[in-house]
Amino acid sequence: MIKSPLRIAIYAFAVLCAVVFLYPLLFSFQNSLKDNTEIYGDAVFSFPSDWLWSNYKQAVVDGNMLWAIFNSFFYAAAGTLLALLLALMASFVLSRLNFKFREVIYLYFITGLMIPVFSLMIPISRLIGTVNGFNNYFVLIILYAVIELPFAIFLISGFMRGISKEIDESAVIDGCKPRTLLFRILLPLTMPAISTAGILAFFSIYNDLIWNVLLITDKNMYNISMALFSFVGQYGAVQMGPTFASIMITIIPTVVVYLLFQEKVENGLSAGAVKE
Amino acid sequence: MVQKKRTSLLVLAMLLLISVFTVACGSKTNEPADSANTGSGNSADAGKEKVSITILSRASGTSPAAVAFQNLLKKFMDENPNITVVDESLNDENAFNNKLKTSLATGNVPHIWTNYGGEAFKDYAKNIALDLQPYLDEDKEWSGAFLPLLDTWQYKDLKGTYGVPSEFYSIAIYYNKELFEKIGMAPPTTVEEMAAVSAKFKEIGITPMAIADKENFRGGHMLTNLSLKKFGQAKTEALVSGEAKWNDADMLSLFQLMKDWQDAGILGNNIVTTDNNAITANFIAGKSAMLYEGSWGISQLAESAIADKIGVISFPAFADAPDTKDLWFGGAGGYSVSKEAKGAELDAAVKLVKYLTSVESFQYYLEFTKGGVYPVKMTVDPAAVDPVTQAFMAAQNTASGFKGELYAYDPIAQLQDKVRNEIQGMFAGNSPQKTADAIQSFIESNRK
Repeated sequence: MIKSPLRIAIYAFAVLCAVVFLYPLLFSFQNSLKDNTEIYGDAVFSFPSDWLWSNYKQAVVDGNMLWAIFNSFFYAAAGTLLALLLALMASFVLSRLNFKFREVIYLYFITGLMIPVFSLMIPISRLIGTVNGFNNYFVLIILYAVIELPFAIFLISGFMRGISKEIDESAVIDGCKPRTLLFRILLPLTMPAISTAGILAFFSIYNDLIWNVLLITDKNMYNISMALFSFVGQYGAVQMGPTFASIMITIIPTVVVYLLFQEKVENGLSAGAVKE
Repeated sequence: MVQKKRTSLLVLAMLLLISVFTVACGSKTNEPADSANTGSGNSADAGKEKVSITILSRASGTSPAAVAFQNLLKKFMDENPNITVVDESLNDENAFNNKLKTSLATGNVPHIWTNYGGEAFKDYAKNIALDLQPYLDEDKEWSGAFLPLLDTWQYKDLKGTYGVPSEFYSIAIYYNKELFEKIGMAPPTTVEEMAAVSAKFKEIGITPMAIADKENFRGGHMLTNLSLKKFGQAKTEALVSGEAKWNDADMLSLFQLMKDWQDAGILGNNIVTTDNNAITANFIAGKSAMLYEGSWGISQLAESAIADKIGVISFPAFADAPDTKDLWFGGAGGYSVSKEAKGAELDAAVKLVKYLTSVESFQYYLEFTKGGVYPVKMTVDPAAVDPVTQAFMAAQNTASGFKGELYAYDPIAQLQDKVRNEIQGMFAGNSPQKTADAIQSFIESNRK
């Protein structure tokens, strides 16, 4: 079968894109097996002259990276679940029920989108200090969930408003209780928005640095961003080999999550783009 | 229906379990409820009462010095089972500053924290740092061992000493002996020799002395070194008092010299976008003949493949300024104790500071890291330290004194950032005149 020139050009472009997107991964992998002298040497594209697998050992043993990945994953998963649960219930009330001050309450939640995270550092630290909440998984998960809540409510309630209210009326006539209406009928219909909000919240928490810096001092509770500091010296000297090895290790869970939910991620990104 | 109920119950049970787990995992390092500060101030009680104290230093991570610091904390807690030390240390400067400033703003000041004293610390000294002078007077064995660095935390119009040194740093030039043999010249002792040596290195395709101003303190350090070597501390004092200006002929000549070095290729390429890892790696790889770096760089160089080829010299002086040729740029970082600490907490905090800054602790640092320079008088067996430390100490012994950065003495706290940013701007293309004028106009608009 002879390929048309257009098709060949499309494939060539796709291959070029793949190279551009995959090269950083290959670059990180190459450098995860080198030392600083080789990383900063002239042969940027070369494979290591001496394959330093010990960088991975350093990443796991000295950098405590596996534990950090677990922590990041735990914070992200728990924080996202809690944020989605709360956002779903809030969105249901704000988009399906009519009551006084509904719009005011909605605006109150959405205001959270406009507050820069750095302006919250001091008040939240103070608040958590007063309840003795430093180094506490529970406190941190609630904090992450609350920070992600405004955007999740904005996204989910916006999507829910687009679902016909006749569905609710039919369900109520058939004797459906609000809980069943939300979790058995509206939730599946709202799935694209929930997926999008969930994915964005998950990666936002997974990549957090600032709250871990401020609220955590126990090294066993460090997330990935904090653990990556393990190889940074006091005056800017960085052991780049173990740092790249750590990065390679930390990429694995996100790649797995992406591959598992690839379809959802792609659908989620285009959710709401087209009126159906 | 039954199935649904079971599922709901299962989910609820799981949520409950997770809550219990997370709460159980929390607050492991927080103060126990019974450790409330009694404010007694009674040292005898401090020996029995359980206390928890926090320390925020820059010594975290996996570097030998950070591991030594962590080992010392463990040792201290083993020796003092009633004291729990919560180590909040962060090595990254931005993270450290965020943590410290947020702690101060929220009233959760660490009991002990690292700082670099000077004018920038004066407000802290006035408001939140404890005067350690009574403790220094009381324990002469401890205070007598320090090198003369306590003035870093002393002020003319504020009685007392608000910190003690935990680290001592100075800036020198490490050089590759083999490369100097190659060009048949000795390492430069003066600025004039620097130009001659650099020309030779350029001929054989070696960068004379690359610097990395991505971390923009390096440009500020270089200006300080040049100023000290050319004019001595008198110029710094004149700048602070306003007698001298940052854009006068003297200062302009220094900015111009830095620019000339850049234009001549002495300082390497892409100064503003290069980081220190790159220039250190190039020095180790033999692509750069000299490395302008602080004493904190010793351990990395001592572990390198060229450790036995590294020599150390003082920053080049000026032939027409022989009186100030041995003045070095250097200083101290140290610990301060929070004024908020009372009773048993205060006793524990002071005890820990004394422990961490004792000669024995610095000996331990020396043995563990196999090198380094420290802020106390102690005997060092040359055989016990690496050759780079030996070379550094030999060079440092020629110093007639150590002085801080030009702007460290100025009451305008933001001047440090301004000068460093402007120098970075000069390396990026601004003229020396524009750089000097920008700094001077900043001073004039901020001088009280």
